[in-house]
Amino acid sequence: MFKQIFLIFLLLVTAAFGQLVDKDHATTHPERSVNTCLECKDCHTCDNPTREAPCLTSCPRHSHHFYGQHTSGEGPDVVIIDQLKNHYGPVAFAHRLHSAMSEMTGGCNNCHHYSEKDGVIPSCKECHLEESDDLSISMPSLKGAYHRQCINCHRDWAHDNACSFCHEPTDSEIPENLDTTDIVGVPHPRIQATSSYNYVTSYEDGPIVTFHHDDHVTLFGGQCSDCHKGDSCSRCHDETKQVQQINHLTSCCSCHQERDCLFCHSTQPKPPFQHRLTTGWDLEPYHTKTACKTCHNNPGSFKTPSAHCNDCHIHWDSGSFDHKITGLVLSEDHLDNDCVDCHSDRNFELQPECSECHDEITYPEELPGEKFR
Amino acid sequence: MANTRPAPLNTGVPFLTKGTWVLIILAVSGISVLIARLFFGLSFVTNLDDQYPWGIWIAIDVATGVALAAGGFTTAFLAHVIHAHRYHALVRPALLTAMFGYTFAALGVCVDLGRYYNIWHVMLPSMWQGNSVLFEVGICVMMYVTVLYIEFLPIVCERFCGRVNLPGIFAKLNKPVDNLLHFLQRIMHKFISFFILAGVVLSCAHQSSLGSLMVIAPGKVHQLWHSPVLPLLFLLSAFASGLAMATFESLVAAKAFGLKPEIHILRRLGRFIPILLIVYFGAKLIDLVNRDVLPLLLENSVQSIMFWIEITVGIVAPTILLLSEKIRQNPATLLFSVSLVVFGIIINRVNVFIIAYKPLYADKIYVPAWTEVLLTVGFMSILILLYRTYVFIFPILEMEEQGSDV
Amino acid sequence: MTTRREFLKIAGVATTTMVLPAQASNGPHLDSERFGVLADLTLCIGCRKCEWACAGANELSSYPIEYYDDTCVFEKYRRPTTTEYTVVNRFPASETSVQTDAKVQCMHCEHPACVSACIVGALQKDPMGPVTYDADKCIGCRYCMVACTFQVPAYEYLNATTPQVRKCTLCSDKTLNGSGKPACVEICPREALTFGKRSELLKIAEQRIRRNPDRYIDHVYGEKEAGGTSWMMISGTDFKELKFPEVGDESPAVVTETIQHGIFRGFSGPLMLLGLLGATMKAMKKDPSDG
Repeated sequence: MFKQIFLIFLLLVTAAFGQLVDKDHATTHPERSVNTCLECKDCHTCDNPTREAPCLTSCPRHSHHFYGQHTSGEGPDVVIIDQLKNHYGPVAFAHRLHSAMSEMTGGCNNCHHYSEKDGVIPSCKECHLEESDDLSISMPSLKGAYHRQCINCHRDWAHDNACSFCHEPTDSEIPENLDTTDIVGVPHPRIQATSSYNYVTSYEDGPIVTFHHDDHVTLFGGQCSDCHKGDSCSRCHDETKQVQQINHLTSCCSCHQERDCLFCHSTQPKPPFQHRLTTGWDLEPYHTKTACKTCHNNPGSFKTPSAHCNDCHIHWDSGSFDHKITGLVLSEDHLDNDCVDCHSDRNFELQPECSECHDEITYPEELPGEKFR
Repeated sequence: MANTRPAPLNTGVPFLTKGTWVLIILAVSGISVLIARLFFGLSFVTNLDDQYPWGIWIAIDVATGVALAAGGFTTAFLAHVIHAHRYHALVRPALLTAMFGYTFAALGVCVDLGRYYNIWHVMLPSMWQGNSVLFEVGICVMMYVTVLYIEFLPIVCERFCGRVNLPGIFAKLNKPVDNLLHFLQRIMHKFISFFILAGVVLSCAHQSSLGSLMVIAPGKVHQLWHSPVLPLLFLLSAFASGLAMATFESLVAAKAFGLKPEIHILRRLGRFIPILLIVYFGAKLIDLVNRDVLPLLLENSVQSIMFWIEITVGIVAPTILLLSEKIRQNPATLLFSVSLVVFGIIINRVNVFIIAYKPLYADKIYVPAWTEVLLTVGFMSILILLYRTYVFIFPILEMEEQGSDV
Repeated sequence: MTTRREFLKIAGVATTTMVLPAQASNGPHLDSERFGVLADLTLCIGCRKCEWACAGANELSSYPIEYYDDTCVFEKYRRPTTTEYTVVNRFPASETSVQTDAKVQCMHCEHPACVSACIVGALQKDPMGPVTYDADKCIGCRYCMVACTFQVPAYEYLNATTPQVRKCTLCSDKTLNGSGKPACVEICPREALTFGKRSELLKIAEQRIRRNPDRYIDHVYGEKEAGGTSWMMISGTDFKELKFPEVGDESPAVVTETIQHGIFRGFSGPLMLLGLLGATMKAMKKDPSDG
């Protein structure tokens, strides 16, 4: 009798413990620790999934199921999608171009919503069957998956559903050598961006921030994705849409770490970057074609040159250097000076020193010659 | 009263008058519309479309026609069921109107039906569809038309028993037809009560079911009319309509055929009409209050205006008028009062089936095509012409004794 | 509100029948495995391929597929016609909603008013879902069109001799024998339409709404509308803005069927009245002096 009671008691305890463990599992589930919004039913189709029979939904569409980014060059250049050609011809999908653009809009998992833990991306048809069956009713078939993926963005910015936008006509052949920079035979037009923007901010001491887009792209060598992160296609492509402003705090400040607000803010628009005006060092006439990074090779910073003049001009010395080209003709009594007399350590980027010879004189209040430019 | 009995018309009024010719022209035009409909389809002669599947052929020819033919069963009820013999004089004219009214209602349906040749499907038990209100209406009307014709048989027998005189080669059949009529007369004598009862029951059934027809479209029928008690309202209004119509016919027929109006009967009959109208009005009012739709009466719309007309002109005004003994005694004022009742019924049926009907996606309002109207008018003309013909042939109207034996 | 309606219904029936109590109507017999279609309007792009496929499958017209690329048709709100069992309408973006394309076709109600109204049973509700039409039975009364909660059936008014009521068949020739999906579902490029067991579709619909509460409004149109329909819609835009009628959860056929059955079940109502009248007739006859 006592034995039986004990057994029942044991059974109850075990069951209760089982419950506890189960509950615990629900909260400490590895996926849940990543995304607490996740509910069991988002991944499991049955009410009580177990480790043996997890009844997982196939290819769950959640960003946290994407592991590891790839570079745009890793994938194929062009993918010919022709498994389902029926009413329309196949699609030549410029994968490289799209992946390059995707870097501005969230990366690979923009389209590839699922990858293995090791980062390997399965092909669409591995999950999306050509003909969906009863089991996969909640998942689009291959046709649906393609169309949903492509049209989502295309419709968003082009406002166009025309099938011919992507599909070749039924009777046409895919040309053999496709230009990978093409979008289906139509070369991508040059991006037309406004060269400068004047933003009016609420900062009282300098409400105006002038942003020279051209300078950032052509002079400073910025990549689109440096600023256009997590952007949408329609931001650039949709002309009907009101341009949404980029979050400047994160975009600008990721490069400009100046603590001086007035570096960007001003009471009036700032002119585009001119080396002479901004730094006092004129690129005219000999350095106009010199690449920025010849002198400024510090990644992300142009503040001070990484190279010195003598790195290139190794044979320059007093007597062999015509000081006139700097825009300053030396006076008679300075002509014979050695370079280091004014430019200590032959550091020509620094302000010249007069104290070597003169007591009360400073540059540039008084000049060692005549400035003619 | 004792010296009159039903007889073929003998007042010396000619069959063909100016008015008759107008009716004949209208009838012929109506029939030409019918022919056009048969050859070129509904779209050729009607303004019906996918938003408005039913037009005046259903609203007037059928719904109103049936309501106005209610005189048949109401007078039959008075005279035969509760044996109020004084109203016998009204029974035969009302029966004749009902017979033709229903016949033309059925014809009206047939014209409106896209596949009229399939109408017999309604009688096929394998296709019976007990859930359908229209099925109920259809089967009842079919049965009732049959009953009406059967009820009319004794009048045929009375007129022709022993007087069968077929022309030409059919003369040989005189004897058998006469025998048949005698046989029918004997049979009918035994069963007429049953048919009269059946007629009343069938009438009650389909008069109310006509109201149920629109109950199935709650989203499309204006809230002033759409109500689950619509069948009851239709039945109650049919009672009033039946008596008003019997009075109306009697007075008009008297005028048309140069007879003395039977005001002594009609005056008494007229007493019931306001009572029935009050009951009907009360039911309508309770229904409106119950459904919380009284505020709709104040909205500025065609619907609310039509509802007001229906209530004031068709119910309240005749009720007040008919409550007065003086008005009931004068044939002219009595005719005016019952005309208002008849008008009210017509407006009510048109309201329910057309004015109240607001399709979900209509981009225009249904207005009947002139051809639709012409067919309706044509059918009415034929009905009046047939009535006229029959009173000349059969003993329908009460005649003075001496003139009866033509 | 419900109680009042309930009361009125019973009151209506009771007064009409005078004596008989209300007899609730249960609607047509339905299979628990019955199928339906779920339309996700957030996925629809208004490509009108369903219109093309439908026209082909039902032999309604033979325009080429390019004909349906025309977007000018969106300027006007369209309804199904005798030659277009389904049409797609576009609703431009408004302050409260994004641009939405919505397909219209017969909803294939669970308890269809048209079937209840049909005088000869030409319209039938198949236990598996489709509302089918048999032109050979039809008499052309168009009561189905009056009754239809969603104003769908179209009629061949131009046909003088053999007009038919036309509406979506749910491709019952294929779907009923399990040999395929409806043509519109099959062609839909984005698979905005999902064909499957109705119960399953409801689950999917609820799942999608729950997972993307920002994308959808929390309403499965057709789950309960007019007693439930085989076609169900989920959308990001309020269904009222998409011109879907606001319909109660009960089929309108329930009211009329309750009235009908209340009066005519076993002909008890009419027979009772007949008896009553007969008795009156007999009782009153003993007084011939009346009048």
